[in-house]
Amino acid sequence: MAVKKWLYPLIVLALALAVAACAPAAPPSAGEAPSTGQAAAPEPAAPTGPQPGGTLTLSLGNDFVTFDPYFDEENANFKAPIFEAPIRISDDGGFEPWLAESWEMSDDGLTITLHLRQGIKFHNGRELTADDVVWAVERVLDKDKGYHLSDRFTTATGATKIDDYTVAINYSKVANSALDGIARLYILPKEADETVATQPIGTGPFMLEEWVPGDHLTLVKFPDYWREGEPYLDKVIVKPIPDPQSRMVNLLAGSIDGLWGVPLADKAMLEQVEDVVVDESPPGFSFYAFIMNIQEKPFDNQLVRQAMNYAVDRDKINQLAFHGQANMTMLPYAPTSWAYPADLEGFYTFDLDKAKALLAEAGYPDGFQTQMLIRGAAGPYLDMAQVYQQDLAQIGVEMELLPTEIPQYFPKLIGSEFAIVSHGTGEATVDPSGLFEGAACCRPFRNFFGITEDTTWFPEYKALIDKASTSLDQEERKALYHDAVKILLEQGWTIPVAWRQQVYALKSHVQGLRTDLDGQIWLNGVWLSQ
Amino acid sequence: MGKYALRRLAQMAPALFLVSVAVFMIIHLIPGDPAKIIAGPNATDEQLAALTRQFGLDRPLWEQYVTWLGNALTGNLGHSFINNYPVNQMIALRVPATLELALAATFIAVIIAFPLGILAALRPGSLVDLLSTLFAALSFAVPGFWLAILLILFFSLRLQWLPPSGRPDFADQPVEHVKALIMPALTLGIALAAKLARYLRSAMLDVLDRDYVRTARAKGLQERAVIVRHVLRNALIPVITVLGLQTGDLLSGAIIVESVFAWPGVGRLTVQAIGWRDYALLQADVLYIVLAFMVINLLTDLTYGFFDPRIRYQ
Repeated sequence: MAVKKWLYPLIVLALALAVAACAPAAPPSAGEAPSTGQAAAPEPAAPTGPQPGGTLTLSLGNDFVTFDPYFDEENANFKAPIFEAPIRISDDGGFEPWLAESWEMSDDGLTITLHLRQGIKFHNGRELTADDVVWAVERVLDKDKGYHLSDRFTTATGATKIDDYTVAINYSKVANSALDGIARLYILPKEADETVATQPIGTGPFMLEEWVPGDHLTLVKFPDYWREGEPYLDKVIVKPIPDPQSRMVNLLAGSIDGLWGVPLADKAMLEQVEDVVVDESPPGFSFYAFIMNIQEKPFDNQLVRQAMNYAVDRDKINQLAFHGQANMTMLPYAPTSWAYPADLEGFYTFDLDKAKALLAEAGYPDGFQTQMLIRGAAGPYLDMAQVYQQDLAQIGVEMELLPTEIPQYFPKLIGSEFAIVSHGTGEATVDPSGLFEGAACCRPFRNFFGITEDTTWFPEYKALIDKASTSLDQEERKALYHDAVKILLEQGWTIPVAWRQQVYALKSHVQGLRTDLDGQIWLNGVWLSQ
Repeated sequence: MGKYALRRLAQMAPALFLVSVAVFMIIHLIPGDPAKIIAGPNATDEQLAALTRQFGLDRPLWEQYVTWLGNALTGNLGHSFINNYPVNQMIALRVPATLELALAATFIAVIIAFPLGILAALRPGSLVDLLSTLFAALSFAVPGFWLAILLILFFSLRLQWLPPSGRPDFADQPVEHVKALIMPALTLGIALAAKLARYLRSAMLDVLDRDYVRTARAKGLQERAVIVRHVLRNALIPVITVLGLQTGDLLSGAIIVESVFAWPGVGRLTVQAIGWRDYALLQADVLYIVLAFMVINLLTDLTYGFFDPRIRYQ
């Protein structure tokens, strides 16, 4: 190498300059231009109220794969801008009239009658009538088309049109969760049945302008929207930006106004950025959990399951796996639920000595070896399992982790091909019955965790749930659910760890944007202050 | 050469057929059932059975293949399991973005690699050679996603020159479109440039020692003519081979770069198809990738003759 010696310092200097030039920029502070190509703007005047107009650009992460509102996967939190249901979950956790101006339940609890508003139009210009609601119920009950919504209508037998604006939905038994189902019964026109997956049509505040798969979705204000004055925005653009780091940089650069899926590791950093507001959906519906298959040794032993509960250090999991940003839980209900069993708080605490003693009592004084199925090849399910794995090692339990990509994970879960699993579970329902009637972790039917009719405590557990499901007395139901949760804890197959919440970040000029209690991105009242 | 090209094109048909059989079988061997994935964990057995029937997965594999082939011959590659969108349209929507990115990245790679590779070969051990080696080492070492984020931080956030993501419609916003292409193309182009520059350097060093180069110089030919006509031309064959393979790679989609820059290319579509076990989409997608490789290989083979007239096509 014949490089002259005097050149070396110059090369080092050039490299240093290059690195410095490429160093990450500090987050823009007040006064610094937030958007690409925009000059620094003066502080906007204090907003006086909602201002109409403007375009909101969001990124939810991945692209849409289907807009069918009965499908609950990729971007399922973006149904409400396009579709609406007869009723909706109100901000106080109850139900409020929406497409239906009122509803009533029959005395026997087997029929819910909806009175639809008149003059509501679909995006294709046709008026919504009772026929559309009847057809929507038929579609949910159709095995080919009900997809994920059918689970909320298991006791529904059909719907009957009473007049053009009145519909009765019939049930085979009293179902307290029926209103939860109706609040997700997004109505689409029958003529859009075959095309809704790619050309969504609903009655919502925004209608489709174009969807370029992989590139963007553009919605425009629906001029005939039934709610006077709403929406304020002229246009909403959703860009798929799958990489979370890139999504954040796009927010900082101003090419998007909001993003969903803030990595917990970056939440604290984003909160420091002056013109960015970070928020999260309320806890209480879905939770991270370790769940055991009670047919698999040694988890067929209740004492072992209890020992596994005592070995969970939620604080450590929060610090190491969730960067201190998660809301941890030991119970499957949030304190905001009327079914929250407050006296069961602290049923299990982190106590390795007790865990070891229980293992010894169960006949495993030296621990055992097991494998944990992990939802996804990487991410929070693996991270929290790694922390748990370390603590289990201290009581002699050697747990091998099996990170599994989603397409292989679900068949294994459904087929009960595991001993213990790191999973996300729970069911977003206003009524607490969702936990025991829908959530995979806790329901006594179609249970992947080995709970069958032959399980000794099954009859008692099932009876409590059935009775709570059909009772119309809230106090009685609360007591019944309390006892069911107690069985769940005593038997210990499900270990709730932390609430799963949507974390999102918005530019501060975006006003009124939030996720509602169903986790839906709610755009009706959103406006831009600049 | 025309006859040769036609024959090669004709040979593609049986190759594609064999590939389609292999791909069909392999896709169905991958663990993961589309009906279970799409129906979700709460589906009943009846729902699963209905979806399996709807997707045609309840029929024997050979029958599924024959149906697929029959449709494919009429230009219908099937519909996505999830949204029922025709898969050839889904791929056709993504190919222009991938093609554009691949060509731009290749162009950037060539304009960086050629001067760098040639100068490094002509002056081995010099500062240019050292810088070229350093550039190559850094490019190999720096992961694409990191370079991509760095570029966004610098050009979008700090300088605010380039949009951090997306691909605006060329007809509506031609300038923004080109600006959006720069960073993804640069990310891919730099990595490719490093490879090309190294290959070119070593191939040229090899040729520079040859007798015919000495002869060319001895007969008084200008150095520029020696380098361009005798050295570079002879050194290009291995470089073109590498360029062909790499361009084929780029045409099959650049998953990471597409994800970071939200570039709507084929790579992300492939990930989506695998993730959902969307067999029809995956099958069509893999066939597109195979076809892209075949066409690039043919073009590479034809290019050899252009640079080296000794190569004859029969």
